Amino acid sequence: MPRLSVTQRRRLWFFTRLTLIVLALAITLLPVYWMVNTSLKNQVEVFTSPPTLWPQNLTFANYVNVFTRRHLGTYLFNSLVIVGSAVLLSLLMGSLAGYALARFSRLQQKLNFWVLAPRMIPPIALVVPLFLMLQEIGLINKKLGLILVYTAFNLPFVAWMMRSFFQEIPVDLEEAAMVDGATRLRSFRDIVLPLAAPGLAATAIFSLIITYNEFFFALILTSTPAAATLPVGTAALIGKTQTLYGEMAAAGVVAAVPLVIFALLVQRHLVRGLTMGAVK
Amino acid sequence: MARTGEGGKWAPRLLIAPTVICALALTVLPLGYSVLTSLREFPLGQSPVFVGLRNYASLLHDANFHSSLGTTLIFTVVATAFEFLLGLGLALLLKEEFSFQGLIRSSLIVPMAIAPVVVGIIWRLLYGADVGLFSFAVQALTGKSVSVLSSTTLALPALILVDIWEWTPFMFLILLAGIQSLPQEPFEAARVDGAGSWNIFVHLTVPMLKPVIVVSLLIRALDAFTVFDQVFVLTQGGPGTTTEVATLMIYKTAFRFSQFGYGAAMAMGLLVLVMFFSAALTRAFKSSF
Amino acid sequence: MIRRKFLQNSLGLATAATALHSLSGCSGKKDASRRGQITFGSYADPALDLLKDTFLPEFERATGIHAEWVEADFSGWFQKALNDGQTKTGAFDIYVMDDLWVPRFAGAGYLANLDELGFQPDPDFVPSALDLGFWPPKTGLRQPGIDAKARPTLYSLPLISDCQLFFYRNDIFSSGSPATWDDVLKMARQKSDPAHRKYGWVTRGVKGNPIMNSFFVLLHDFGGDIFGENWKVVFNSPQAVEALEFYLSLLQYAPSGVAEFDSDQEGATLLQGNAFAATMWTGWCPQTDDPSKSRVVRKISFDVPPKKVNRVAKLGLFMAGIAAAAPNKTGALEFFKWFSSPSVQLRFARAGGAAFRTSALRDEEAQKKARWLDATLRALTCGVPSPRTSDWSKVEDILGTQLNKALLEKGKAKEHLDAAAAEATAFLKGAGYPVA
Repeated sequence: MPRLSVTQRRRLWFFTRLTLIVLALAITLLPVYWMVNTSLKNQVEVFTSPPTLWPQNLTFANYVNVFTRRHLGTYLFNSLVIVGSAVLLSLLMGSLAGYALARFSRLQQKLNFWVLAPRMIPPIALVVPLFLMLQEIGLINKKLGLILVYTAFNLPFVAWMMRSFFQEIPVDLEEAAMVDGATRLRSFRDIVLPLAAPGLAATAIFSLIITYNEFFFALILTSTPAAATLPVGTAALIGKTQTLYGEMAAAGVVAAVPLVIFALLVQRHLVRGLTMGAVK
Repeated sequence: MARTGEGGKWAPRLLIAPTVICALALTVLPLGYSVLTSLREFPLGQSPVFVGLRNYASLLHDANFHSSLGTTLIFTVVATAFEFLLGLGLALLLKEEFSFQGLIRSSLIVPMAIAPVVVGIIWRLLYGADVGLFSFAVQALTGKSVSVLSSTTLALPALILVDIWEWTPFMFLILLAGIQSLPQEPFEAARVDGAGSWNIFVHLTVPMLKPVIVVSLLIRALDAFTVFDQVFVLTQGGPGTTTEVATLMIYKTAFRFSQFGYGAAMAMGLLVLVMFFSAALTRAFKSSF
Repeated sequence: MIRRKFLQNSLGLATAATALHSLSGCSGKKDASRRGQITFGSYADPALDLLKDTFLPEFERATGIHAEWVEADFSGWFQKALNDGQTKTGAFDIYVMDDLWVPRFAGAGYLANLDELGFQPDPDFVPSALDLGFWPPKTGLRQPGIDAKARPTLYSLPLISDCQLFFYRNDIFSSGSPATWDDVLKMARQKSDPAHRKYGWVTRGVKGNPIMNSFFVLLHDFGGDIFGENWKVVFNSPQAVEALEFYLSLLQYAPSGVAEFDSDQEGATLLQGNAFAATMWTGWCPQTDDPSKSRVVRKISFDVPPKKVNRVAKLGLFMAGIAAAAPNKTGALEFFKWFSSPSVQLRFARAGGAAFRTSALRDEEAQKKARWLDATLRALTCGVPSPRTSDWSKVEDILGTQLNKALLEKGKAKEHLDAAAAEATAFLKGAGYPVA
């Protein structure tokens, strides 16, 4: 193959990149499109063969039903409040803990197991003790109860993830700043945090999504729409003898919207932080 | 990279304390409770009976459970491996600036944002014989009518595909963040020294990403070990027992059959497998590089 | 720093909002102890819509008691109810249950004794429906651990008379419902055209409960059974093998993906007009005439499943029981009395609901409105429920897995039934059953 010029190589790379990205987007979004598609169909069209690529009889009945008959509005509100609070709390405390772990790391190896262990145990094993504990303090079926549980779950995980991001940042940068007279707190705020911003953004997104879609604890630790979250409400569309596909798709769309908006807002931090040149 | 306390040992301890307390409370208590449950049996309408290690003895002879552990292991390893490779590829593809990057990045993580039960339902629809877009496309292209979820050979791969679709965005997100967090000088220095892209990648990027890689692999693998929603909605463990993963078996044993003690023992069995796996994974990463 | 400030402000807002809502959300429990409210816990299902949307508000108007309906998915509700019963939390007054759950809930003491509370059923209740609410069971074998001489006590009442009917296309079976299973096979042979999606039969093939329910009717119709004397496993008897072989022979006229079909897919195939016969739950009946759900409006008719040696239907009733730790037992009992009264049941049937009083199901006006009520009554009369033991789920899973395997291999009926029988016998022996 003849040697390509620099411009030709760059162009080839550009087009390859473009094709791959388009392919990735197509594969990623096709099922999402299908979810939206299904949410706008009535039951008879959902199961038509061959499947229709867009609704022949467009209907918003699924969305109407999901809000008026299935309390989805209440569940959505609960989810936003509960999950938002829990994630905020755990991000705040977890990042600080993660920083402490990265810089003062005697606990490092031992902590690995303890942090991951809650994720290793199937939720079924955890739920009864948690239920009994919360019942003792009267927080069953209260939003605050779930907030506490979710914060407790996220905290070790956030700390652990942020630790690995903080570890990537060389200590010399902070030391250089502190030699110049900054306190540890200021160097954390002005140097480390911006550099760790991508990690924080990723952790925030991931933490939010996992907590938002958590089903099992929400199911057992709440009993009425007063405190129950979206996953519980959405799963209730699976009936004993029948699942309401159209309404499920509608619920899925509604539930995903806040997450996508959050991701859109936060993802701009998924970029390289301030260059080191400024410090040196 | 570590620095022990300089004049303030209490400050870091204070910061770390809540995390440690939560980690312990969420591990020791439920673990203790589970172990206790696994040592008992719960006959109908009577108080629980202590049976010692009998449940564990039965577990050792339970071929169905062993095969479910095997299925879970295959699922986890294959899914995590593909998710890692695809996620890394996407992260490398998208780390440079380009137009619409915000929109594209957000679009790529949407699968992760959809409730798992809805993902299951939609893919059930896509895979369905006669009504599914997937089946229809295959039939149009190859003329053969296929029903993926009722095929003993294709059902597990089909499930793995759903998992890959759903969780590659997670790997992509973490690895992208990891790459973006790396300091620039080593790379600039290497380029000045004339190193090629591949060399930079293998000898610079990957080693520096190691902490993030280990974290992402461990978390994804742990979640894959406890996969439940997709399997429950898509196949219920069938056809036959080809997609009967351990969590499904534990769920059925503990809840449908109300054998709480035996189910708890199974959960402990799964836990042991998971612990071995994560220890092996962590060790493998410590030794290489 | 801006981000910190933003985080702090949001946190403050979130905490305040949460505090407000936690405070406002805690008045529920207090109301329940007054006469004012009862809380239903249930799984979701379209069959309950009529009760939820029309009759619970009517109940409130008639008695002043507010009914709160809490719903979850089927397995989710089962876990929640178990948890509530086990921990005696009392978050619910009335549990809606699958009739399969009654042995477990009643046997473990999670349900209130309706005899003691003073509920008196009368003979107008369809007997087979009412019998499902007694524990220990009135007839049949009693599982080990239950006193053989204990008097059957009423722990739960029927709520929705759900059972499996034979759904068939009246334009294809033009001379009426097929009298025997052989007629079904014959029609399938004559008129099926799988290449053009015309299937003579459709069923549920997913392993476990779905395929078990599909096979159950054939098993009994061919003279087989699940358990014989003293809990001996007999579902591998010659009659049972014959039944399974017949079931497999019908499959050549069914869609190829049947092994992954559950209720949804089975119902969809029928309602899309692609199949002409199936045994399905009565919850699907109203949907056959709804143009937003069915392409075969008025073309589906209902009957008791056809005959071979016997003629049976399968019962899968929705039952309701009062929680042992219910905060408002009086209110719950009042609901039972109101809903099971002849006048309300009659109105329920006339609105298309699957009532459980014979008089309501026989009512002419009701039958005109809902053309399946007559078949429902006949099905209830010759209906057979799943075996009344809390260990049935495990046996069902064993048998259901082997049935699914037989379906996948399209044969080897005897081998699979024998394998299932062996595994089930081993399990039952270990659980203390006096199997031979």
